[in-house]
Order: sequence, then structure tokens, then C-alpha cells
Amino acid sequence: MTSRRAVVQDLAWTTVLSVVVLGPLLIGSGYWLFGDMVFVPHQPWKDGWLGLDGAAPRAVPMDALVSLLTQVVPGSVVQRVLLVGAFLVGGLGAGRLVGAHGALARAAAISLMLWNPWVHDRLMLGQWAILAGYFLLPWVAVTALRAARDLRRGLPPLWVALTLAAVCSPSSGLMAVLVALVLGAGPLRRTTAVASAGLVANLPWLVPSLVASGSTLSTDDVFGAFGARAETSGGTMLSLLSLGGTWKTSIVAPERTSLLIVVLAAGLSAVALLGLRHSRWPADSRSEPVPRLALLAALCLGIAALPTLPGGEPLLETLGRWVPSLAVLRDSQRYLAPAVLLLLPGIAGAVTWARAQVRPGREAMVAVAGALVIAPMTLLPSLAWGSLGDLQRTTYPDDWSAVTDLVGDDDTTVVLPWQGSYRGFAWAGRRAVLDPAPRLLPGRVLIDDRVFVDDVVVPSEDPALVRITAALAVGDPDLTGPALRAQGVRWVLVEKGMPTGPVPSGATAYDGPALMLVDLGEPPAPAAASGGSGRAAVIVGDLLTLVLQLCMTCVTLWTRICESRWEATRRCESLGGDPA
Amino acid sequence: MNIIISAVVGGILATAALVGGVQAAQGGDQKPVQADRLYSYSDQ
Repeated sequence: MTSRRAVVQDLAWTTVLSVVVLGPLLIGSGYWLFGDMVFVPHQPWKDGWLGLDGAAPRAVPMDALVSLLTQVVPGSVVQRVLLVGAFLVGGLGAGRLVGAHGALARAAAISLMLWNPWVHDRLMLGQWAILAGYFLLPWVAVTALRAARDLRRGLPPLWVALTLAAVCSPSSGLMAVLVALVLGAGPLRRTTAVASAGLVANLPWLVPSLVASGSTLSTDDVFGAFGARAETSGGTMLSLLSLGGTWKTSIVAPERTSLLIVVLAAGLSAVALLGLRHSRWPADSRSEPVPRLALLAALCLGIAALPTLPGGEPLLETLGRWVPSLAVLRDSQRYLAPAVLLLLPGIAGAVTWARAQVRPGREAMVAVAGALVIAPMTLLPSLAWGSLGDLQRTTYPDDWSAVTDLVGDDDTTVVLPWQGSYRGFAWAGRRAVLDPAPRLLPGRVLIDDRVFVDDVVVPSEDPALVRITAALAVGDPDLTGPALRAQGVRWVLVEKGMPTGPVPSGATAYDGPALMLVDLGEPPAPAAASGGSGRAAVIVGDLLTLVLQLCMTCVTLWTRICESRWEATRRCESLGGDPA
Repeated sequence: MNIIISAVVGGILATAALVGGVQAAQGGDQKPVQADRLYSYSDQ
């Protein structure tokens, strides 16, 4: 059990790093709105947040959680709490994973956990939920290793960690299950228990994806378009070995385009691998975790690099035609995340080794230990202070609240421009951001879900959206209005400042500087949601996960309390005192 | 020995800080920005 003093030390260092990264968001009002990071003041409840609308689940059930939280506190507060909380969880988890080491070694592990190219890239992509899932991985590892030692006491906390990771995003849930299976699997009984926990934890998104009858996933060309990429002439593998290599080159940190920096960062990974010889584990570890962590890292590196390997992309494309769900692997660099779990004990071991070398005549070895603590920050200064002040806070124009008041809970709204889901609002600094309309407006909000990247257009997944595309393609405003009404659409929201194409004819219900709302009139029939036949299955899955999560949380807390009391009693007895 | 260790560690850190810091300070001009159609829409 990690001492309270160690927790305080880890928390202090984690807080420092978190504030340095997220500082600009914390010192004022407004939102960080960029990439996939969309928070709104008040996110109305919709069935889609739980995947009950038949659409393919993307932010299920995280959107449900955020919606519930914004019923109580403003979205700007929720954003800050979730981001800071995620960083704190990640830092403390890294400290716990290497808890058998000293303070400086734990600080090095925390630095590497919170401050690396993978974290930078995901933050710049706005993938805050995936980042939160990543920060839970050390806890999944800690609890999986504990389950491997003692299944009865280790399974409940592992269950809790797996469910929390799955809540963040489907890919986070999958990565957590991979970590749990590699680190926690063993005899049949234990493997079955861990796999069952992983399965139940992921039911909230797994069931909707299985019953989403109306959705179609396409894997054509996506693995190449979203596959890992080289940042320098050093190649993709060098980037991946240093935890970089995102597909989206425009958000790569400027210093990561320097071959020297990427080589040094890969060198830091190499030092961590060498340091594994000096990693320390709890005394009751039945087996050395390093081989399992190495297997996990190799698997993750393989997944991340697969689209870039000879024959990798065609293989994935072929498999994707048989199993469209493989589209979840398209952003391959994302799956590099669990590999950091191998580097954490390694860097801690390297620091421990350097500290052990300090002796008369070699006092400077303490500088080696200190250098390993600050190396991640030195090699990636762009992560500091919101990408060195590049990430500005912004606020929603008043137009948004005005149109929100006009749209009813049962209405269907089409959002223009109808070209992808990302926008470049003037009021958000033209930085690309996922359209906030579906999270701001009540009712059913339809946006174009096609993704345009390089020369690839990832087609729409929802047949209803394909029909809207066809209706808008007519072009004549007098014809598109009735065509949309026939699809059950009442409102057309026009986001100004971008080319929108012809706006369907209708009554202008609101016209402001940023938005225009056109009323097409009451549709003849409400828009039919695609799918929905598996609604009962989704609800059963959610309830099963929720109830078991509550039970496992209670068991974990109770076990923790009992262990603390037993520890206190043992300490008192050893001192000859009265435990009471 | 202390001098050698200090020189090596200090040299690596100083080089990394100098190269990384200069690149980061120069910002987007140094980015290998490709025609990124996903976000190029927002540049229109």
C-alpha cells in the first residue's frame, strides 16, 4: 500500500504539471473549443447519449454523463473539472504503478505519463475523453496486477477501473481490456473473470453498436488516411517509439519536426527500457510484471504501426470489408497509449539506478536523475500553457441561446453548411471544431457526418443523413424545403461565416450575426429515428453495467477501509499500544 | 567524473532545450502542414 506521504508528493508534482499544461483554461471564463473538444453551457438530455436512437455510438455513454453533469453545473465548469481531474488521475496512477520507488523516480514516471507527444497530440485533436481513458490506464494496470496476485480482492477495483475507462470512449474501453487481459490473465478462472469484467464494462457502447441496424461503417481508404505518420525524416517507427506519430500532421508540435528532438525522445524511451532492469514491484508480486508489460507494449506498437507496414493497409482494408467494426482501429496511433505502461517502471528504474550511483566523486549522478524527471518537458515545450498560448478560451455568441429557445424537444433540425461535421467559426478563432449544434440544441439535430481528409471522403454512417444529403443536393431552395419536411425536418440552422450553399425556403425565425434559423413548418410526420428496435437491450446492458459498477465500487471501498483498519491495528500492536 | 557527467547531461539538456525551444517559439511556420482537408474547410 502506497504511503500517504508518497501520495501527497505525487499529487503535488501532478498538480504542478497539470496547471502548467491546462493553465490558460483555468485562469478565466469561457471554453476550450477545438477539434473534438466540445462543451456547451447546458447539454439537454437525448436518447442518443446512451445509444438509444439507433445511431452508431461514438461518445456513448460519456455524452450521457456530461449531459447529466451540465444539468447541475455549467458546461465550462464541467470541462475544467473533467480535464484537471483526468490529469490528476493519470499522475496519481503513474505514481501508484511505480509506488515501490522513491519520490524522484515516481516524479519521473509522472512526468512521462502526463507529458509526452501522445498526450500533446490527443489534446490538440480535442480528444479529451480518449485522454481521460489513457489516464486511467495505470489504474487498470495496477488493479490487473493486483487481480493477478489475489483475484478475490483484486477483481472489484479492476472492474471499477475498466468501467470508468469504457465510459470515456469505446477505444479507451478496448485498450483497458487489452491491458487487463495481458497483465491479469492466467489460469482459466482468472482469465474468465477478467474477460467478463471487460465485457460487462463495455456493454454501454457495445450493445448500441450491435443493435445499430441503420448504421453502416465504411473502412475504405480510412486506414491509410488515419494511420500513423512520420514527423521527420527519421520515419514512422522512430516517431512511434517516442510516443508520437499522429495522422494529423498540422497539429504536430513544431519541435517534433526536428529529427534531433525525435531522436532524443526515442533515446528517452530507450533509457526507460534499459531502466526496466532496476524497476521495483510490490513484495507480494507472484511474477515479474515486466515481460507482460513488454508484451503489451509490443502489441500496441504493432497495432499503431500496422497501417504503415508493407501490406498492412491492404490487410486491414480486406479485413474491414468482412468486419466493418475494425474501423475503430483506423486512428492507429491512438492504440500506442498502453505502451507507456512499460516506460513508466522503466524510467523510474533508471532514476533509481542513477540515484544509487551517487557516491563521493560521482555526486553529479543526481543530475542524471533530475534530468530524467524534466526530460519530457524539455523535449516537448509546446505542451506547456495550452500549446504555448495557442489554445484560446472562447464563448458562445448569444445567437446560440436564442435559437435554442426556439427549437422544441420533439423537433428535428438540419444544420448548414452540409459539408462534414467540423466548423471554422469566426468567434472561435477559425480553429476547426466539431459542430456544437447537436449538443446545444434540443430535439434531433442532423449534421453531415461525412469526414473529409486528404483525398478521402469517409461516407455517412446513417441512412437518414444520406437522405438529407440527397434532399439538399437538389439545390433549388423551393424544392429542398419540402424535401426536408418530408424527412420530418422542422428547422434549418444556418451557421454563418462559411459557405452554406442554397438555404431552403421558409420563414426566418431568427437572424443574428452568427446564426440564422429557418422554419420550414410543421412536418407531416416526425422524423423516424433509424433503428431503435434494440432499445430494450441497450437499457438492460446499461443497467447491468451500472448496478455491477456500484456493487464493485462499494466492495472496493469496503475492502480499502478494512485494509486501512487492519494496517492501523497491526501498527499499534507492533508498537505495543491499544488498537482501540 | 563529476565534470564529465555534468558536461554530458548539461550538454544534452541544453541542446534539447535550445532546439526544442526555438522550434516551439517559431510556432506553426515550422509545422509540416499538409493539405489537411478535414480542417481545410475551416480555412475557407
